[in-house]
Amino acid sequence: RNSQLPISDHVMPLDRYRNTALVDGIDVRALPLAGDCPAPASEGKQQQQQQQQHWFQRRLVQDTVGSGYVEFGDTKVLCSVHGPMEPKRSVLTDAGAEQSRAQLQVYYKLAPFASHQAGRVSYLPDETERRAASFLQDTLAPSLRLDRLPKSRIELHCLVLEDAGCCLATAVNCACLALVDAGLEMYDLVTAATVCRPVGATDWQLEVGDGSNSGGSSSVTLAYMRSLRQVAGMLVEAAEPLQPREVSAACRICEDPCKMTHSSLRQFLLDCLPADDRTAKIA
Amino acid sequence: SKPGMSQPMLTDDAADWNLAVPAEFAKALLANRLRLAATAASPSSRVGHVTPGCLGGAAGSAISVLGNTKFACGVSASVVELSAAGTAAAAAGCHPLLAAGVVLNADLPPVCSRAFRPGPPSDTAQALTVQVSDALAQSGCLDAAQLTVGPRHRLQLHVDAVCLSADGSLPDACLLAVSAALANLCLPRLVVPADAGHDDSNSGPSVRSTAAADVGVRRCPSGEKFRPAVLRPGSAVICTSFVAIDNDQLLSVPDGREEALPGAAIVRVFTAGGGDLPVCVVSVQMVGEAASELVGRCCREAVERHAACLAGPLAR
Repeated sequence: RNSQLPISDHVMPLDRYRNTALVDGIDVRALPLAGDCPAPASEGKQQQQQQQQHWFQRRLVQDTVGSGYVEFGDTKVLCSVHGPMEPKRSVLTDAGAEQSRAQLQVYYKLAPFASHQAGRVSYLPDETERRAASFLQDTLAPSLRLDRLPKSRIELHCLVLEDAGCCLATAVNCACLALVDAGLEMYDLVTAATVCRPVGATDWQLEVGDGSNSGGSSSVTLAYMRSLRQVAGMLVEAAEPLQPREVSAACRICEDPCKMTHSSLRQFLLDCLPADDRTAKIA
Repeated sequence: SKPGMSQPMLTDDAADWNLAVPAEFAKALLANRLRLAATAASPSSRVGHVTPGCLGGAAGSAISVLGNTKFACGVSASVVELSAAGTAAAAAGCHPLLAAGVVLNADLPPVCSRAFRPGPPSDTAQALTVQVSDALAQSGCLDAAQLTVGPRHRLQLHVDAVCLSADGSLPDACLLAVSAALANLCLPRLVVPADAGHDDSNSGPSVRSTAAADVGVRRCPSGEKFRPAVLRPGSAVICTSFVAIDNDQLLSVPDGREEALPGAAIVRVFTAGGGDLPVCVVSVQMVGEAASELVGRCCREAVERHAACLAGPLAR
């Protein structure tokens, strides 16, 4: 190895079980334009002002208890539920608490081709995915009747096929759909929305799933249970500290999209029921 | 239900019979032209369907559906700079597909089935990767010359096939998605400036540089796109799986339950060709024992199915 040649400061973690490239290359999307001209301003999509609709589908995965698939714009997420199964034993948890309610374990992964940014997503999980899994677990666990399934464990697997913005909120919606499809009792449907604030802007904008306004300097994801009028979870990601009133303003903007998604999801689940059972309303 | 039609609804007695003697139950269904899998009996009709270009994050993408088995495949491209010495060193002892600049991985994540756990890829996933890589390398359908960018650069393709739902015939659905994604590949037009510098001194594959300026290749400013014919026009690589029961009955493109029938042999026939290339059998892989005439019958039916796939879901 020639020590005079530059050594990259970004080295992919070694993956011994998969095929890896002989030589690391530059993603074609990251290549500069010829003639040293800057990227044209209209290279990104035009911002969509109208509210985008969710598209729901269930029972896509054969060998699972329940599964759901949600498209929001170009963002596509697939979730599946496994269990109830035998719980994992841990010396750190209280034996009584461990046995009285089910354990919910969430795994979140982006497909290697999911990102609209230059570069592939590694097969090995990174910090962003672990944080998203943690948020999903903290958000969905309070909405489930875990006390009805003692001494058991439920696994929720989330796979993002395409991330064009509003990915985490779409994952929450998809996970809720998969849990309902699995027949698990819930206090209420959990729906989520994300607002973001681009660099230099002062107002929050609803993040849409077409990649037009994702990747801002700050974002707030709110998960909401409409019937109970309770916030199930909130995730704030910002490069600099936010004032409480800014976070409150963001949450107020998220509330209406969450309610609309709740209505859409509820109607979809009702339409999935056999005609004779449609008189029973989902709580 | 009518013979030859979709999956029959099992009564309690039939379900018990299926649980106790699944091979006998499958043979009894076959005698009435019924299948456990919810598709028709003839192999040429079990071609599945493909949705190309559905994933915007990849340069080429496709989702294949074969019964209840679903695969999503995405192709990403990167530019590498290889010296002649580096090329020879890289090509020695490595897989022909890697040497051609195609890095293929098939992934079976836990989302697709309870059988797969989070963590490193399972043996099934690694075997699937090897099967698909070998089939592509031996097919003769790959045109590595299409990946050349200027005299000193080359495109490197990362082909990632992710299973969305696993229910048997995994190589069949995987190759269907991979073939469609490679045919769907659309990249920005690249230009190599005349003054792109290149350091010939010892720049082998062990040197890693991710600075864009080092590569010397640029994107065309007009946003023009081009479609490299990595797979020769009109050609594809297809896998057709069969389950042989008692060296007598053949189930084509089986689902998970049919693959797990006790005492049955699994035969996978990889075919390649189309366009100007003749359709031929590339390789046959067998798990268990099957008579040679039965394997010959599998090959003939696989060739028929290959033609049906080229005329159907993979038609361009």
